[in-house]
Amino acid sequence: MDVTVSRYLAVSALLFAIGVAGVLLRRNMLVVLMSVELMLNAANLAFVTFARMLGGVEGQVIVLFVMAAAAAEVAVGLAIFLIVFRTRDTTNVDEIDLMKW
Amino acid sequence: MTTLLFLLGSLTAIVSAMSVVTRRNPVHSALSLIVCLLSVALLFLLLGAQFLAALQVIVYAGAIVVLFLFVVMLLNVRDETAVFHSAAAQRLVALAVVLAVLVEVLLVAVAGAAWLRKDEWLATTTLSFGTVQSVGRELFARYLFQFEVASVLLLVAIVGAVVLVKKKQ
Repeated sequence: MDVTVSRYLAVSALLFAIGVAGVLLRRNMLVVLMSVELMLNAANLAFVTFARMLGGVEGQVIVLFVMAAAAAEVAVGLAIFLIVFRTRDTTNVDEIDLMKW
Repeated sequence: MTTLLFLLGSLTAIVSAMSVVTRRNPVHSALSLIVCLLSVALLFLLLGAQFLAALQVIVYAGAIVVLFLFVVMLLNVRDETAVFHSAAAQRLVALAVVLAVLVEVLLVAVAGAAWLRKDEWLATTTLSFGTVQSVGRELFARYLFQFEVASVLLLVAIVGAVVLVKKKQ
């Protein structure tokens, strides 16, 4: 078997779909955030694949920025989860309906 | 050898990603996430991105997942009674959306790559491809402004997290 571009992209697509499934199906907010990380990671894999395919390093630079954004998102997201857990004592995303009208 | 490593990396990544989504205990999910991130780092290495592979291990598997584990500890979460305890209709719609996304991404990425470019590596890489030097050169020359913006973003995130979690006097 020859490892071609589309095999890497297929792995990336599968990881992304699993991440979407986690966000839509799970109700635990920690697992939802982990699934978001999975999706970001799938996008990173696609970026690196395209960088290798085209021989340019720009795709890898973008992955660096994606990692920075992911770190920021996790820090703020987990802080929000902590306050929600303090005030409502739940980790279920269905019970966090404070902003629902 | 490359094929073997690719199979190892991709299969481990997919299986552990599924395990992230299906575990009842968030700690197990976080540990599976580490395995998934490490196997994606292996794929990065196979693609010649050695700097990013190291960064993936240090930043993602090292820092971000540890942050997750700390919060799991602080939240003191118990095992869930069911993995997917949403309404049946919601589950059906979610599955349909997942399938649609999977088909769409596969079609665009895989078929698109195969159809447009004969599905092969267009460029051969040199020895310096993906090293700290080549990525750093690009980062600090052409993407300097974006780099600074990213650092401001991280600073804002730190300040935001501290302000959010701080107890009111």
